Amino acid sequence: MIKLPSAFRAVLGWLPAVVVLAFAGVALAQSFQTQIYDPTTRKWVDYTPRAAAKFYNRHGQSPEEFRRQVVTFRTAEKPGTIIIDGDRHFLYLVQPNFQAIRYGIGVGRDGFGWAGIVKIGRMQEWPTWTPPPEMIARDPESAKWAGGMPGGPDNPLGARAMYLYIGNKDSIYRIHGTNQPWTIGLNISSGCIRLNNEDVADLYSRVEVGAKVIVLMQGAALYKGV
Amino acid sequence: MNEIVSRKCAALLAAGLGLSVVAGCNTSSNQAPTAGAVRSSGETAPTDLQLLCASKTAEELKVAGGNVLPVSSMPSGETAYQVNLTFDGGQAVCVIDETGTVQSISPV
Repeated sequence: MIKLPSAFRAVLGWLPAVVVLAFAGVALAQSFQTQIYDPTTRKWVDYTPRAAAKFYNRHGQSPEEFRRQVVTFRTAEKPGTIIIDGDRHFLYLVQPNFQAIRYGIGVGRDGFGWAGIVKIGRMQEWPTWTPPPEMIARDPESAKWAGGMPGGPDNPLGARAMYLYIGNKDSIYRIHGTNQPWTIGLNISSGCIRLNNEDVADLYSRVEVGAKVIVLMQGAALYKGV
Repeated sequence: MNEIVSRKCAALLAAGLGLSVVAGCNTSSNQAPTAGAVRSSGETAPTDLQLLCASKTAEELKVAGGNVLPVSSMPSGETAYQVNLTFDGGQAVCVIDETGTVQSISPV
């Protein structure tokens, strides 16, 4: 039997732990954020809520990358599947012939991001918004809507909502519209996926209850439905 | 004679200017991003490649239900990506190149 030097044996002994830690370390990393190119300084700068609001006020819409467009998408997932890339702030709706419709989205802020494989369990036009007890605890202002805020242009869920389920259970997360369209591209929500109202209405018209939804988000600590 | 020399010089100068313009065009092909261009602060594998890795891993490792979720990814060399995957009962690492060809799948 070959005798390995003790130092080498020690390294081998630690190797599985190192591999596992390296794997887990990525999951503990901070969420990625959007950056925008500033032609004045010729540098990429953080796309903060303030920068996003400024851009939206100046252009009347989000940056071009976040606008609805058809893209090439190589996947084995069937048409009608929704794939959300929270790191890049894109939602893809798979189409036939290796194409997808891509929409810009806003996702969960640090600590509120999640990843998983879920499905659309319910769909609603101009949904009522009912803040969950945890949100009321964080934001007392929302307490006045504890009984539900009727649907309408001021409602944070916007024009449409698709309720995400794990099996037959509501995950509490939704894909929905927004009354703050400038927030597309940001990590800003409590875990829901938001689109501007035109885009969410377009998506709503193309999907069905039962559609598979795959949510990717590097750094998310929560995995649902896997 | 002097006139011929000066014409030759003028021709050379014009050719030189022409070349510099062409060179200028070549340089400008390495364009800076346009105003309003956006990117992510971190580099991950393209979304579709992450999912190709997931579906191939589900198939190769015979994952019950086929639910394999990419949890992180990063460049691997100049033309490939490493995709870390999780599924009920295990984890795996997949390497896929830019053309969508899976190079390896290793259970962790």
